[in-house]
Amino acid sequence: MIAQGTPVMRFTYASGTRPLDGYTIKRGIGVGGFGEVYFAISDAGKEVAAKRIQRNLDIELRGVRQCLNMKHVNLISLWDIRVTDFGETWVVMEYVPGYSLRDLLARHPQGLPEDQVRMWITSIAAGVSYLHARGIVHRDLKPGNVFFDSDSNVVKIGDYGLSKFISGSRRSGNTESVGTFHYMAPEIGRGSYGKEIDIYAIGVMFYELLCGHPPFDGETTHEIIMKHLTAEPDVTRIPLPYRRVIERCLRKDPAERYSDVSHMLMDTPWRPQSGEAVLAAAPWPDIEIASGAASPHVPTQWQPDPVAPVVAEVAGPVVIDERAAAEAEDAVERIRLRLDQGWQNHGGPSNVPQLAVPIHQDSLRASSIPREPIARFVYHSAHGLADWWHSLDWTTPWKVVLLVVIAITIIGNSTWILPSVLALGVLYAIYFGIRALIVKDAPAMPRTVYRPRATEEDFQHMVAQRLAARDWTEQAAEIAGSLLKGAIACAAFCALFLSIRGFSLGPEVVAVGVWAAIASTLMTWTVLLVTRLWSWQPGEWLFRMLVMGAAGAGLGLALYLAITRLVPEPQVFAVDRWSIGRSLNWASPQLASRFIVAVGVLFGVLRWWRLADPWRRNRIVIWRVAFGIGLAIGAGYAFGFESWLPWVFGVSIVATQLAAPWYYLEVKKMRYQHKLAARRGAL
Amino acid sequence: MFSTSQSTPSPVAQTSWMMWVDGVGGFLVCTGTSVWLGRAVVEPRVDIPLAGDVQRRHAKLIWQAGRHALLAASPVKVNGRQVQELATLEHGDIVRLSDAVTLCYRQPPLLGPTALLDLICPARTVPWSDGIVLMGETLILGQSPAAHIVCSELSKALILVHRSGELFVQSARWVEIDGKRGRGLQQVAMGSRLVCEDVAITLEPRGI
Repeated sequence: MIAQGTPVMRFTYASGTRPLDGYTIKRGIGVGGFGEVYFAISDAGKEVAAKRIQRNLDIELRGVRQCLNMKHVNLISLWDIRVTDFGETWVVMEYVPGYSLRDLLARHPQGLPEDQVRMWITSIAAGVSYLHARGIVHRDLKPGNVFFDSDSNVVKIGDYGLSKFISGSRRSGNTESVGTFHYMAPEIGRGSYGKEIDIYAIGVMFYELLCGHPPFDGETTHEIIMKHLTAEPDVTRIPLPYRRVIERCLRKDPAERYSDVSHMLMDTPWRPQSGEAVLAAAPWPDIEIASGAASPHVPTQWQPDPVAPVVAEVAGPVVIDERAAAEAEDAVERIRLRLDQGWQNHGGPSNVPQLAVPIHQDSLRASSIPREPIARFVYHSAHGLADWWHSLDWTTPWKVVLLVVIAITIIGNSTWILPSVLALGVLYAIYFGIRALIVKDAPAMPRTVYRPRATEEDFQHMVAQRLAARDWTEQAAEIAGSLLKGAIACAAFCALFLSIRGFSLGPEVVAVGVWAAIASTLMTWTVLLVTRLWSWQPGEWLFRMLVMGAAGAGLGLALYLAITRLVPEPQVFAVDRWSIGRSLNWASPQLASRFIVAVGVLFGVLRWWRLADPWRRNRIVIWRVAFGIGLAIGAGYAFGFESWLPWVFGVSIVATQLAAPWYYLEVKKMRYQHKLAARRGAL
Repeated sequence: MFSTSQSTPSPVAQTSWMMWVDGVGGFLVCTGTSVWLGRAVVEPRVDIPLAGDVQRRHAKLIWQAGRHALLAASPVKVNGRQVQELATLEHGDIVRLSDAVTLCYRQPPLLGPTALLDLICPARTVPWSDGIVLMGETLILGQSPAAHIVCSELSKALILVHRSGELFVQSARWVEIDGKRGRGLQQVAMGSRLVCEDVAITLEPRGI
């Protein structure tokens, strides 16, 4: 034969030969595990990829025959299987110009931007879902088997010739080890598997697309396999919305993974209406230069690039729209930039639409970047400062000297720095609280949509949905009822306290008692109302603490104003323990600020929403109450408010628990019913 | 045993031909001093046949005064501006023939007059090519990203030289041309197969 043996890229057939009747070989594309793949053109002019099957003939052919009639935009089409007079077997299939996901990942060691990840994953999921729906498991999903067709801008899955029928009775059909270790589910070693192994492989690729490296890696094959079997994936670098999905895909027990690709998609933050909708209309981020509106369900369509309309305006002889001209320049510049970066067009691998790496880092960081503008500014400044510090070309001793100088400067000026920082903090907490109540940021966590094996959280979710579906009058009644309960509890406890301490009922004592009752009621109400907004779902605790802190600061001011109006000179109310103020002047803003800070801190530090959690195990959780009161005693002592702060807070903590809605029993009941139903189903 | 489509090598009479590089890609190489861009049809035959909404003979690229210039037979825009008859091209220019056919003209500096035309989706050449080369005197294949055609496998650069209608290959190592091994500057003909240690190349006259 021609040119055998010499080049590193060893191809049996040279360009121009016709080993397969009707097709002329043009060039070799690559050598895979199962044989050489060539680019060939039929006598009529059809461009195809022709694969010469060399090894594992049986496995390969059995799979390919099953898949000959699969038609899906995200699958590489198989045209035919041909056996030549010389006994060679050829698989003729669709030619996909472009590059594989492996090539793309090699060029992005830090992972890809999220919109690209979305395109890859939804496309792969669509193709795999099609295969599964026809009873076929791919079995060898990996980046080297997924391609981007740069002619039609579509992701295509190849090499599903390895696939086999899922047989209901005989799940452990073929026990030969085929596939790539990084993407192989742990149960493959046992030789018994179903379509869950594809879900696992998608999970691995999902992880790798976001991070740039697979979740389980090692020096040796053995090490990788051991990690698949035993290690938990490190998901700390995965942006929050995808963590759960990936973790679930990577479960060791196939039964714990998603049972279906569409279920997996529904758990992603891409928030489909239904699984079908996603699969039918793979959302199409414009990974090419075009930034215009993407056409969602016609992925093959070329998106007209932004130069077109704008340029038309510019070219007109009439008036040149300056802005349009600038946009046109921009567009041209973008194309140029892309081409400059990626023009080593030849060779496939390099023909990759380049997206600058920083974009990706931003998107990775995105989940931890605060959304509030001031916090974001501080965050970015801090990062800038940190970057500068790391880039500083000084030796360590000099850096230490600099740090010491800074520290001395700060300590020397602590008299004014500390109070101003504190004041700024309080102001910011108040601002943040108000903003949080007015501005609704998008939720950080994707809501659970589907889970076949329900957990406690799922039952809570179900109960919550039922409760949320109630009539508004019922909901209002629930809120009003709990507020009333809270008020009554506070009043009763305050009366109890007064009687226990055996005050003689002078007018001043009554006034203090009334004030305490009002104070604890106000606290309880604040907690009940604010946590009501957050009840039913978990949320970000830092955000909640800040909101509660701001609410507490406001309450502190109200309490201070109330006590100064009610009691002219209530000396017992504050002890000047730390001689913060030179004299205890009741009208002084210094005392007011002490009230604000004390109540604000207690509100911020104690996780009140836990106290009001509708899912708490008992209506009154003893240790939470004890912890809260302990904290209040400490704070009372620290702020010189030990005469009233602990018991006002103690009262409101207990009252909150008594008054807050409690639905643990409903969750328990529902779980029990489900268990019964499942058992009945099993019988 | 197997018949080859091109049995007798012919001299470089053609102004455009395909260069198939195993494991790398297929490239449309134009060696003429004037290169027609147009629709991929049998007649009239153009040097760069495009499957796209362009005219049969849409534009012509000519080499004059040390530069490529574009002669518009049908409306063409370069960097968004309508070409009035003739426009000289510079590295990075965006040439728009129609809604579907946009090209980027690139002339890697320091590598002589050879230029590359990058087709931007969705248009394509017939047959599919991974790149279009407007070949001046040299065409460099190599590992370096600066090469005209980047072959990651190729440890030593391979240079094709086009001189007064004839084609040569130059390499620091041996190159086997149609079974005959040699070194230095060797002449090649259309239809030749070039094999060296790292890569195999076939030059094919265009079919259409």
